[in-house]
Amino acid sequence: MERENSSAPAHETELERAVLNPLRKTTLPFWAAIAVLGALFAFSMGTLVRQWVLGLGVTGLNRPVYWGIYITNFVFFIGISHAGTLISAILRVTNAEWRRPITRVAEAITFFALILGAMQILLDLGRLDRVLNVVIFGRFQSPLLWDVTCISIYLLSSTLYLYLPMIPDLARMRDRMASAAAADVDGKKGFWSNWRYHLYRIMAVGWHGSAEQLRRLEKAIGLMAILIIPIAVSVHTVVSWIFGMMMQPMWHSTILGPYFVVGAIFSGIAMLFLFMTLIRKMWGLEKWIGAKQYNYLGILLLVMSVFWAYFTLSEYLTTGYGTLVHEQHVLQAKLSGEYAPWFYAMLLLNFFVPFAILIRRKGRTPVGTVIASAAIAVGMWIERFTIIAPTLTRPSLGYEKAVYTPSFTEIAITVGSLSLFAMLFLLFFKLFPAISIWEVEEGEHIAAVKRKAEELMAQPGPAIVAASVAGGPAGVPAGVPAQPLRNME
Amino acid sequence: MPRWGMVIDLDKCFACQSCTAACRMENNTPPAGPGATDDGRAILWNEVLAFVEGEYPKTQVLLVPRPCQQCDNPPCTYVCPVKATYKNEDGIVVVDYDRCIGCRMCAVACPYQVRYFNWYAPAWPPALRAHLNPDPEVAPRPKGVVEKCTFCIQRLRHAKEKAEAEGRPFDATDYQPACVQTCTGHARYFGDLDDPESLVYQLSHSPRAFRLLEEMGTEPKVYYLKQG
Amino acid sequence: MAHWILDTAGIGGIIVALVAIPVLIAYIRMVRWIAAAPRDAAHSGATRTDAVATTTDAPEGERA
Repeated sequence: MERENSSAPAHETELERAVLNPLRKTTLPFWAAIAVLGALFAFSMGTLVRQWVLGLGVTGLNRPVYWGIYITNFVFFIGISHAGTLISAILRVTNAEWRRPITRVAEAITFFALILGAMQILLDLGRLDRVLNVVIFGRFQSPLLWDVTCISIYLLSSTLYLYLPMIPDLARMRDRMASAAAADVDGKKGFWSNWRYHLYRIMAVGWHGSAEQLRRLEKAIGLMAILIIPIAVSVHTVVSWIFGMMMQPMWHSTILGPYFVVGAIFSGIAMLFLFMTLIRKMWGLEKWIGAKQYNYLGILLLVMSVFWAYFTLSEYLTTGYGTLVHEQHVLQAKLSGEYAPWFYAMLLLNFFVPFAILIRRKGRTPVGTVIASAAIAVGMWIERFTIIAPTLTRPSLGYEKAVYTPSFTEIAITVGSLSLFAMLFLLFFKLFPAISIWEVEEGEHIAAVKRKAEELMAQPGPAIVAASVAGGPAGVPAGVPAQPLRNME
Repeated sequence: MPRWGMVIDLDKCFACQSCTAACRMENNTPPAGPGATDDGRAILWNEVLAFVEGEYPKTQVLLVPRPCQQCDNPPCTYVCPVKATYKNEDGIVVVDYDRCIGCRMCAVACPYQVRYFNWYAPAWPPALRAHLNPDPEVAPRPKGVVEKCTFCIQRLRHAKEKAEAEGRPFDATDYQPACVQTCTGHARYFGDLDDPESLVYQLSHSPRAFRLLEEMGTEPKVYYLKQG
Repeated sequence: MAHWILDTAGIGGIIVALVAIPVLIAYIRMVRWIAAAPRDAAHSGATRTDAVATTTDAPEGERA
């Protein structure tokens, strides 16, 4: 295969070539996609400026529906941020080897989803210029302060958790480019033509890959994997409590915290499927993001769908079986009122469609999971919307039934936010490898060593001793002691 | 300290809405116009609500003037992230317009929906603008902040200052909100709920007395006397 | 006292800072600890950017 430039060494592995190729050259379709996303985002910024100048009156919000699409988007994006936590952290802690090719994508989704989520809250404020009041005059009894605390911690943690596993790859790219940079002896080319080399060099913090350094890195990643799980759970729980703590009908529910966490993990996996399939297709990574990933992650998505359905049933059955007047009005709005189409669409998209697809092994393929995940992405957005709007349209005093019609500004900003999310994600992977090369290599090495161990264990006795005496690092099976167990020469 | 409360006699109220109009003139709330009002954008610190039950010809309509209920347990104040809204020492739930960040969490938390938001910068037609109340306490609020009924707190301040200037102790009957003063049917009463001699104390203990959404435990200080 | 902590304006900001700043410092120190790891004696001159033995140094070439 032709090398694109002198920084691709002759003996590059297939994995390295496939993963580093997008960083070396960019196709026209990619730029076209960025242009489209960028245009949508730029347009939405125009509508946002207009909103800042005129006021939130340009939205469809009113009294009593004071919260609408923007808060829905906030909860939606924070929910998606659980993708990285689940895949990268939980699967790492449980030693699921098949996670290795997809942890980078998952961690990147988490990072950008958190940023977009924080943005949504900011653009919903009546006085964004006073946002620092939340810190200067912060009042900790307010669930919004709990949000600020937990989301700040999660943002710091997920940044670290994205960065740490990137370090060996950054060092690899630094070293690949070092020769080209070294050739520029008298600084003729200057900083900017070598800016990527300098970026990788600085970010690689002098990584030299010694055994001790690797040990430290693995320890740090392992610690973060354990820590980030309760942090992520706390984030979506406190987000749910901005509704759950208030005595509005069908908000003041004890199940809201766990329900939101389940929904977050659910929508996070769906987002992961969509983005990992996208880059897999775009950059020809089929060999590494393969059947195993789609099968196992598909089973996880199926399990989360069932979990979500269980929580939803629990919530609606409990509410419906009772006769509390205020809650009945909101429930009827969803079951038979103007929110019924949304509600039933949500059930279809979040449970019936994904279940039908994912229950069969043949459904757990790129095509099947993308359909299921697209359905879930839409369905989970609807779920957030039908938690927020119906309750606000049926206030407890019960003298009115309000109407909320989202305005063009709100729709434009939603589309623009999704475009920004996709754009940041794609541009990120133009700079950093989409698959964690060293972790996949580590996995391949572990698999090879296991295979060798199985081969040796299958052979008769003396061969084990001979092999363990003669073998170098690659010949020693993991878990087999260096000396023979019995007294043999 | 007096525990300021209000009693509204629903038998005497005939929903003329003078209270609503007086409140607007006293507190400088901007008019929204019919279109915006239909869209739910009107700012009416005191509003007359229509509770309609049944179908014609057996409809029952209950018309209820609804100021801020000035709860003693106000759920709106619990959720404010910046303490821009709080219950002050007079027991009145106030809003600091300079600190409010417009997150509207208080507005969402209120079970009575008494809170209003400035969706745009306020504007008045010339005729109304000429009659704005010049009191700085009720200066027009900027866009992006929440506002609501304050039991005409500026009148409380004036009454206290007046009593001090006249060298006499402040008495609870020295002050009443604009809606109480204006009420054509003399249906609204105001005073110290803790003073056994006061009218509001006696009325609030009447068998006809009830409060809105009492089961929510918000302890509103606005009592209603049952119709009929 | 609990009510004072929850209700006073500004305490919330202090709590956020008291939680976020130590976390940030801890994370920075974590990265520096990794960066400061000593090099292997055998490979003190070169750098190894991949975590495992590669075709360039393992004699058996045991690679999947």
